[in-house]
Amino acid sequence: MTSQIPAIEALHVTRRYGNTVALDNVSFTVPQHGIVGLLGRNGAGKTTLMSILTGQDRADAGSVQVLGHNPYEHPATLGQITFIRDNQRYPEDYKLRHALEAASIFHEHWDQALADRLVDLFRLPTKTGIRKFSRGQLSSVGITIGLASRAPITFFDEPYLGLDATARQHFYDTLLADYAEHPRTILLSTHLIDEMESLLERVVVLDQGRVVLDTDVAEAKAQYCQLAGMRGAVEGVVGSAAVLRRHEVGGLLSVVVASPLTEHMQQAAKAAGVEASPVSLQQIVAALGAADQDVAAA
Amino acid sequence: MNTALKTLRLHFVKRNTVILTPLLILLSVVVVTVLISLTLQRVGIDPADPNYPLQARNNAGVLWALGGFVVALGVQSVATTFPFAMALGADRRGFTVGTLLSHVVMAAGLAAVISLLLLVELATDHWLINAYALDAYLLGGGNPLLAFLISFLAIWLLQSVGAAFGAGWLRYGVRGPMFIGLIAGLVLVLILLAIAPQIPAIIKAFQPWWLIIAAAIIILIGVLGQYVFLRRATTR
Repeated sequence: MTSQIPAIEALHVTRRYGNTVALDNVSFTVPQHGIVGLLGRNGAGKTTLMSILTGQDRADAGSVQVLGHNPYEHPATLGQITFIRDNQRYPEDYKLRHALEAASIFHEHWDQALADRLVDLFRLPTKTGIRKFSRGQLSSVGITIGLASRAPITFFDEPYLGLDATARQHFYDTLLADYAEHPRTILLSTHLIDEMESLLERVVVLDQGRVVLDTDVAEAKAQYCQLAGMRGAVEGVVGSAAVLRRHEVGGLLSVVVASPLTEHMQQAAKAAGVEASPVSLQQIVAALGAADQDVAAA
Repeated sequence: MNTALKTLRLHFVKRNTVILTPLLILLSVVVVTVLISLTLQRVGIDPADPNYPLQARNNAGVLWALGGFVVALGVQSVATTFPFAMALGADRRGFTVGTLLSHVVMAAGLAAVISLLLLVELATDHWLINAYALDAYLLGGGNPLLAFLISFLAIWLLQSVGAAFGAGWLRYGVRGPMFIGLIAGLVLVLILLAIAPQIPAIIKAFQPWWLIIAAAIIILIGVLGQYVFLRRATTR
């Protein structure tokens, strides 16, 4: 019966800071066991949403359920969550071993061997105080704690900040390998969408505090396509389909449209001398985040 | 294991800071007191003078040396530990109780060390050279049980006050500690104004156990203040 309960269920969640609406009527569901990308522009509300989902903040309206309970001040649920922020603060004078020991106290599934392996992989200094760590090293600490905790619900908030390409690849490889052996629910926010697309099974895209896309990655990519060519020809192929993003240079036009790349569209495009192609997840997210601006520019 | 016990363990992860450092501070008080006593005796002050112990017991070195450190520990126990505890899945109520437990354990441990050092001081005739480091009026005038009780309450109180300030900072930023200080000062002034005509009578009737009650009240206010502030604090 437990496996039927969604890992996360948000219903009409709203959060305001004074006159600013950080989250506006956000609703979505994340089933248990999966890697979900929480995507969107800077200031879209991703970190605010994560704070509420992890019980570190409260919504002004709506409800949040994590494994069937409101996480706020619910020890049993909070004990199954780990959320290392992108700007996580550590206690004064902590060294790496202090942070790892503290994490092991709070997580019953803590894997010290995995933590040690990650410390080696990321080449984290063990004698230096954490407050002297570089941006990338701090991210590595967060990743180490997040992965080694094996918490049933694990949140990563832009875990790659400052990481070099090798370290990022270590993160992706370890995440996938450990997830395969110890399935759990992982929600991570990222701006490196192209790089991390292969990790993600599902995405929730926020824009200005609202959910603009909530679906599987494959389904998301199937809903959109890109057309490029002479302006008149492209507009003819687009027809009545919704245009998400429009980019014009001289007489050339490139658009992302909310339409599947059907056989009919491909034939129409070919006949009009227009290039029709699938779009990447990054292009979709970028288009969703720029929709208002493109309309304004037009 | 519940959050309170996990938080208690969390506060003792940095064993050097919470165990070794206060021990070193206490030992430093002894060493510095010994050096000062030696110097005073070389200057000509006679330890055989009946007034010597009466003056020597005015030594408040333990308070100056340890007091600030303990307050800082109290502040850190909330201000920099709470955000990390939240990240690891602690709830606010459990964190507050666990922090309270850590303050009690710390206070009891340090008080035990102070009493033990006092016993050593008394057994060695004040470190062999009439140096009154812990045999002080502030710590009960040479009574180890009183020294334990006074140290325990004082250390617990200072940590609780520090923790409340730390929680106020988390909740309201820099305005938090400022307003706590202002309000506490205002309340003290108002109480003094209210009881001013009775102060001579109060001093005359003073009983030491009043301080225990006062300490208990301040500790309770500190703990409740910590929980109230943390209840709505966000860790961004």
